[in-house]
Amino acid sequence: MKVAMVMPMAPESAIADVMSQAIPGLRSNWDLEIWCPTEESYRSCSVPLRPYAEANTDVVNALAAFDLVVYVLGDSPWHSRILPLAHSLPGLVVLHDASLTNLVRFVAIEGNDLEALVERVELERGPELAGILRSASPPGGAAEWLRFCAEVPLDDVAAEGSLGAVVHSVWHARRVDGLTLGHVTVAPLPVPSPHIGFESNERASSSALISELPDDALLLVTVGAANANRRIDLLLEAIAKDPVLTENVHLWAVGPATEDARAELGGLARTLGLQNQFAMTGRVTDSLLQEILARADIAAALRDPVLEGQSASVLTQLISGTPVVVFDHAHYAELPDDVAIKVDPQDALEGVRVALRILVDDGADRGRRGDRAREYVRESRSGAKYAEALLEAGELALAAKPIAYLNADLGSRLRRLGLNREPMFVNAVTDLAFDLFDLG
Amino acid sequence: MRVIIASTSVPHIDGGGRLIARWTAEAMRDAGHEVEEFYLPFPTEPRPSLAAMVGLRATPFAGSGDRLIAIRWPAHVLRHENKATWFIHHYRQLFDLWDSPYRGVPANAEGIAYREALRRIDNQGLGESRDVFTNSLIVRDRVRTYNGLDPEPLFPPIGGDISRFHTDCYGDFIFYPSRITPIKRQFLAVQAMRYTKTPVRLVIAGKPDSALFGKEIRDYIREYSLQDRVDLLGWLHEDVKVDLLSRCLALAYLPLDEDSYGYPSLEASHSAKPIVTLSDSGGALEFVRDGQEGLIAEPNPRNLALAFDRLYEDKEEAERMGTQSYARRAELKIAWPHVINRLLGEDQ
Repeated sequence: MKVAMVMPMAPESAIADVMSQAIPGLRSNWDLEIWCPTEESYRSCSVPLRPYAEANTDVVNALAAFDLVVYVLGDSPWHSRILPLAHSLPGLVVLHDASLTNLVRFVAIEGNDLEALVERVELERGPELAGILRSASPPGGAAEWLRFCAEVPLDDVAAEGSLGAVVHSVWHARRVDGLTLGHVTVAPLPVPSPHIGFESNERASSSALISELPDDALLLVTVGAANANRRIDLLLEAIAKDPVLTENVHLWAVGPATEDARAELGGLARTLGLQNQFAMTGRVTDSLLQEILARADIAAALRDPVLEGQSASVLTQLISGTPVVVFDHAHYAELPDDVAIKVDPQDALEGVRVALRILVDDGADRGRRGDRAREYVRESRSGAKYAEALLEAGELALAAKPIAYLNADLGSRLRRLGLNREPMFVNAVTDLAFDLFDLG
Repeated sequence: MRVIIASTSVPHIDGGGRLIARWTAEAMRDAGHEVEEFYLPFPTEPRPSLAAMVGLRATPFAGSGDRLIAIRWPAHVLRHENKATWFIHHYRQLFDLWDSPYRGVPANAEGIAYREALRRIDNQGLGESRDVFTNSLIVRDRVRTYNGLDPEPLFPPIGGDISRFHTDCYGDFIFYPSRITPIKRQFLAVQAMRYTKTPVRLVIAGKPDSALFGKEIRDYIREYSLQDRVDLLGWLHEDVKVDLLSRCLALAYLPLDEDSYGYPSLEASHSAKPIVTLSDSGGALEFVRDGQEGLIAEPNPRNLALAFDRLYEDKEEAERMGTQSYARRAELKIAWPHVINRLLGEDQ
């Protein structure tokens, strides 16, 4: 079977890293090519690589010659030249993020189509949310925008007409169910490689942090961009609330941060008297990240709201043998109980404090959980396992092609007749199609 | 009774599927019923068939007429409270021709999905029919296999004024009147003429489906200098065809795995002519028993040539088989009164 997988191939793309892990397994079953938006450089690839500059008709026509096209989508500009292709030529979509609001909005702006998107959201969700989509600047700032992205994920727009979807958690699958014409497959996201591609931006001060950390300090890390939904503030408050934690725990936020976030969180740490125990490393190199994780005693991933379909950073923390504290919601709730300590988000502060105390007080339990975490990831995650799931999803996507054709043909016929916005006709046609093709 | 006969058609393509509907309507009118015929255009390719199916299902027949008789696939998806289906074939490319060059969809999950979608639709359309008939034992068996239903075989008679058929003589030529297309294997009949040892001749009549196939046959005739032994007549007026039937030695009907015995077989029967067919021809084997109503040859030119020669050499035997061919229709209840009764839900 001839398959084209359209994905970013920039060395710095974390999604490219995990997708690339599946390529050996995919190429042994598929006649596979990777199509990618042009970049300055590309990661190495064992199958033919076809960079393209623009998502235009020529590319669509070339992709149409394949039996199946797999589109890899995440909520970042890496994917802005991929989404238009997915809309032009239905294929299997791999959704890395539960919210694709930024991507869909960006692509709509690029295509001079923002007003149509806003109109759609207004029809479905009301004028207030439509207004936020138009401006992308809600009154509450960045935190409110993240909440908006969670509430209006626009994944229905991204998956529209697709032959199936691959997601990385059962939670995400439930959200996506019904948005695609085909099947939703839950695939086990592999652990990001130890060396993704960040080797050129090392911050010397971050490297020095490790050597300056007291030997007996318990290092709590949270890995990833220091966004408003990472709840670093909550970790600081939980530490400050408990004298044992205050005495023993150092908190590092590992990942890029804006100056505003640095100022805000630094100010909070000072207010709480934790300025000497709190550090924001900024973006770190792959090797430094591995050093930090090797030194870390506890990890925390307290995303709220949850915008990604699975947490690659949690997997990275788990494979390093670090027990992790998470909220008991979204895909985090699917982690085994002996691997992660799950905190009720409704009782977040006290829950996080208690969870940290359990791990701080009982070094043996911490060690057991760390070992189990590593074991869990090794058993359940690999490029080969991921490829197996993608292959199965590919078969299911092929099986959805007839229904996709039916959808396209009925849609174009209604459009030609000018009836595509007449509910009576649309309902009559869809009722018949549902009845005949068992689409319910 | 007010009867709706609904069938599908491909515009400007005439064939058995259209004839069976037209002749059924005529026979019912002759029997005193009020009949309206509907021939609904339907595409032949898998993809457009799906959307067209939705359109067909939306056609508002419900509440009209006392009985709807659905004939050519997929007329059985039409909705009517008193529907009978005379099922004459599946969407063959996706079922019995799946393992043949005629499949028409990829042999992967996509093709299987097409087949499963249509299987489900067939089950629905047949399942909601008050009565389901097939035009042959083969199609009955396929419905059993693919749909788990057990329909009643109901063999279609020939229509119009059958008194036009007669028997003049058992001449020196084998007559093959049919649409000229690879699946009917006229080419095999021409190839057989290279191996005949008697002066038997072959007369082929019909319109080629594709100019290419017609050219292939003509080129072959020329290449092997068969011009004096094989006549390629093209489409014939009905009177000319009836005349050739009355004078031929036998009729050849050589389709590959066809659904039913085919109207040429019945025309031979009405003309009291033996029928030469092949062991893999399908429905014709329900009508022809080897040595009784005709001869059944293996599907290769030499074996077919032997059959042609045998009939030429023993015209008395040919006449005897022709007589049995004539009587075979009564044995199989191939008669309009029986067919009409069954289609209208009356007693057997």
